Amino acid sequence: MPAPSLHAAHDPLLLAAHAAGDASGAELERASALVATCPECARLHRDLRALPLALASAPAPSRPRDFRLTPEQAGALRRPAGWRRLLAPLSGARSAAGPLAASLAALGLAGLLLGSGLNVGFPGGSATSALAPQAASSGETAANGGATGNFDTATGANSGAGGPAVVPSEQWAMASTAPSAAASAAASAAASSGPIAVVSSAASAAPSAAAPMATGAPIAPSPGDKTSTTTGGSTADATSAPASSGEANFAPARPAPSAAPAVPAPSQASSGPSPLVLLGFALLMAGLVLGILRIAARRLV
Amino acid sequence: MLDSPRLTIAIRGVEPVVEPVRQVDAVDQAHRRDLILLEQARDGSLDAFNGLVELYQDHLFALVVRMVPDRDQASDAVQEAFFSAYRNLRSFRGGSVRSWLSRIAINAAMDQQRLRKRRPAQPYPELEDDSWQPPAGPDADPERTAIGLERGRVLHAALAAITPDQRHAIVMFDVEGFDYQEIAELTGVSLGTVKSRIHRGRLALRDRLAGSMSLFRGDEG
Repeated sequence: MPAPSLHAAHDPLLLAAHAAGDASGAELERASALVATCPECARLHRDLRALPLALASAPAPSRPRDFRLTPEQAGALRRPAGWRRLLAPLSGARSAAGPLAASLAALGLAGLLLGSGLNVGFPGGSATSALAPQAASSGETAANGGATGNFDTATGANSGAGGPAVVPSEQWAMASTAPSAAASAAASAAASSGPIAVVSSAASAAPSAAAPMATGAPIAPSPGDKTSTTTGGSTADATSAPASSGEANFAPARPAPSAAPAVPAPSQASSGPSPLVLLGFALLMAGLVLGILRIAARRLV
Repeated sequence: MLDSPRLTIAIRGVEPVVEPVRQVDAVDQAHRRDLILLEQARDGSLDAFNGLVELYQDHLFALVVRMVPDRDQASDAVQEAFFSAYRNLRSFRGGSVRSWLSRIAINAAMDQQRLRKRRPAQPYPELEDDSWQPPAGPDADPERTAIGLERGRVLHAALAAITPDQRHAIVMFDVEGFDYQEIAELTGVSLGTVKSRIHRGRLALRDRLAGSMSLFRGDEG
C-alpha cells in the first residue's frame, strides 16, 4: 500500500489517462490502486474529472461584433482571383458550358462515324476503308514470302488506303510490293478519286484475296471504260515498279524514275481524310476540352 | 376495455419514448433548416448565409476565443472563418452544418495561432473588462452569475497559460466534443499525440488552477 508521502513518485499521466477513461489493462489496475490508496492521487483524479465539465460549462466572453457579411464583402468574396477568374464563367450551375461540351462532343463523334461510314458504304472511300486491313494482311503475307517494300511504294499505297491512322505505313509498304496488295492499293487509290472501274481492272489484273472484295463492291465496274484500262496499266506498273500513282500524289517533289509517266490525275484528288472526318475530330476535341475545363472550373472555382 | 391493465401498460410503455423523439425531431428540424439555408446561400442568397451566421456566430466565437487567447484575434479568426465558409459553400459535402462551420473556425483559429507565434500579443489583455460578463436572464441568480463569471475568468486565464497545442486539443475535445480521431485529422497528428496533449494539458490546467480548484469541484457528477 503506497504511503501519502510517496505521492511525488506516482505517475500523474497515468491518473490523467485513467480520469479520461483511456487506461486499460494493467494501467487501469495501477491507476485504480493509486486512486484508492493515495489521497493526493484521489484528489488529482477528482480534479481531472471536474475540469472537462467546468470547461464545457464555462461562459465565454461575448462576441465583440456582428459577423454577418455585407453585400460588398460578399461581392468581393464571390469574385474569383487570378486564373480562377478565367474559369469562373464555366463553373456556374446555369452555365451553358456543360451542354455545349456534350453537344460538341456528340456532333464530333457523329461526324467521325458518318465520315468513316461514308467511306465504307460509298465508292468514294469504301475501297479505302474496306481494303485497308486486307492490304495490310496481304502485305504481311508478302513480307513473309520474301518481298521487300520501300518507302515510295508505301506512300503510293497509303494514298490508296486513305487512312494512315489505321494501318502503319510499313504495312502499306509491304502491301504494295505484293501483286495482290498492289492491286488493291491501286484500286483504292483510284477508287477514292471516283472511277469505280479501277477496282475491277485492278482486281482482274491481280487475282488475289483483294480481288473478290473489290469485285464484290456494290457498284458494278465497267470493263470497257477508258479510265479502267489506263489505271489497269498503271496498276501493272505500280506492281512492277515501286513508284506508283500514290507517290505522285503525296510526294510530288520526289522524282520517281521508274514510275510510268502516263499515271493520270485521278489519285491526286484523294489526299488525306475527308473534311467531314476532320470536322468531326475537331468538334470532338473541342467538346472534350470544354468538358474538362468545365469539370476543373466546378472543382476549383 | 379502457381500464384494462394491458392498455395502461401500453401507454406507460410509450411515454418514455416521446421525449427523445421530440428531441430528435428538434435536431432534425434544425439540421433541415441549416441545409435549406445553405442551399439558398449556394444559389446566391446572402440573406440565407447571414441567417447561418446569426445562428452560429456566438457558438463559433465562444469556441475560437478559447483557442486564441486574444479577443481581437479571435474575432478576426471568426470573421475569416465565415469568409472562408462563404467562399467554399460548394465544398460542403453533407452532414452537420454546425460541425462544418466549427471545423472551418478551428482551422482559422489554428492559422491565427500560427500567425500569433510570429507576432506575440498579450494574452487576454481585457480579462477585467465587461466583455466577460455572460448574458444574464431575468431569473438569473446574482451569486451563481458571479461564480460563473469567476470560473470563466480563471479558466480562460489558465487555458491561455498552457501550450497552444494542448489548448487546442482540450477545447476541441472537452468543449466542442470532437473525438480523438477527429482531432487527429484536424490537427494532423497521431491519435497517441492527441491523447497525450489532452492528458498533459489537463494536468497543466490543474496545476495553474491549484488555488481555485474549489470553484470547480462542485461540478463533478
